[in-house]
Amino acid sequence: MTALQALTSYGVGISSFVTSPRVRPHHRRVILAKVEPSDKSVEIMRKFSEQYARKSGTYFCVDKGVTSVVIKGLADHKDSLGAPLCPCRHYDDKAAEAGQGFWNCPCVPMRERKECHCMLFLTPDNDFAGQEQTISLEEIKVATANM
Amino acid sequence: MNSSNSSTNFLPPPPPLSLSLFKLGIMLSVPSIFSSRAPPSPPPLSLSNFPFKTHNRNLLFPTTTTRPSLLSAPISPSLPRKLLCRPPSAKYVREDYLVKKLSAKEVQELVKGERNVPLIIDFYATWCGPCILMAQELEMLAVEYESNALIVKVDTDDEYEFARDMQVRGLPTLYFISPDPNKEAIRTEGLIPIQMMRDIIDNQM
Repeated sequence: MTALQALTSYGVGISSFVTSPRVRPHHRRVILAKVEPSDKSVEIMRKFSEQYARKSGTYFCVDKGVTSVVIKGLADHKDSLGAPLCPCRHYDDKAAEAGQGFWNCPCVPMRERKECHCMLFLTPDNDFAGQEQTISLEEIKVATANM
Repeated sequence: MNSSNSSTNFLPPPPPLSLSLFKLGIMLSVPSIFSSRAPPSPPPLSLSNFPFKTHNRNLLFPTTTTRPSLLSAPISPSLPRKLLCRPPSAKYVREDYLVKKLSAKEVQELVKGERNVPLIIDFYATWCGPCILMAQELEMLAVEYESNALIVKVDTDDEYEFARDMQVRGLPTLYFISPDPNKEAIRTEGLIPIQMMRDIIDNQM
């Protein structure tokens, strides 16, 4: 798992190096307080969320900001732990929990009872449920731009 | 109702009329709520930043152009409204959040110290979606209660041990701590409606 993560980060590093080989970038990168999840993981979790919403007959929140934040949280855990651990819980030992699997998305409460307390997958009778089962990468980026 | 379902099986009550305008402000500033972790760079909003002079200049126009005259060029019956000030962009609204983020040590001192108002602690995480909605509700509550309640938030990713000691599991978790040391603290897990929070503060504290 760590080798895969290293490969991913190395791949990202190489691509950015190729685009600007000798010229220094004119714009300064803003240093974020918290490390953002990689674009690749965000895309993977976005596709997973759309697919699982379709499969389970659930819908995204009316406020796509909530959906975006949770997808990024899943991507962040996927990067750091190798598995998309639920971002809306606090754990004593994240690595152990990721290995155990109960709270890996889709978590057991979701699989068994369609209960998603992250408000990522909402049953149609839920007051916060929207009409959509899709979300674009652009929507995710815009909603989480200021984080 | 299980705690895991509590966030999802309720009808949010309509906000009181006095809050509806404020809620609009909150809705407009959702991106700024997201930016609660942004570096504190933008200057605070102040009316002195806005062009009063421009507005005064515009006041001159109505006196010269509203007088009807056959010779004057046809003008629209009402002048386009000029805004007193530019509406604040979402980034700069609510730069000073009422709900402050505290460290574990600061919270512990608050709990141990003497208070005469209830203390509400919001345990959240950066990438927890419902925590963002809860933060908006708590901001509204902070405005409503002003100095009659003290609301603070703790990042569970930063204060790992403190969250573990407080037995935080699902996020967001709220602790309502009464100023009366004999009363027990109340703990809620998941997104709860603002009315429930008001009931707890008014009746249980």
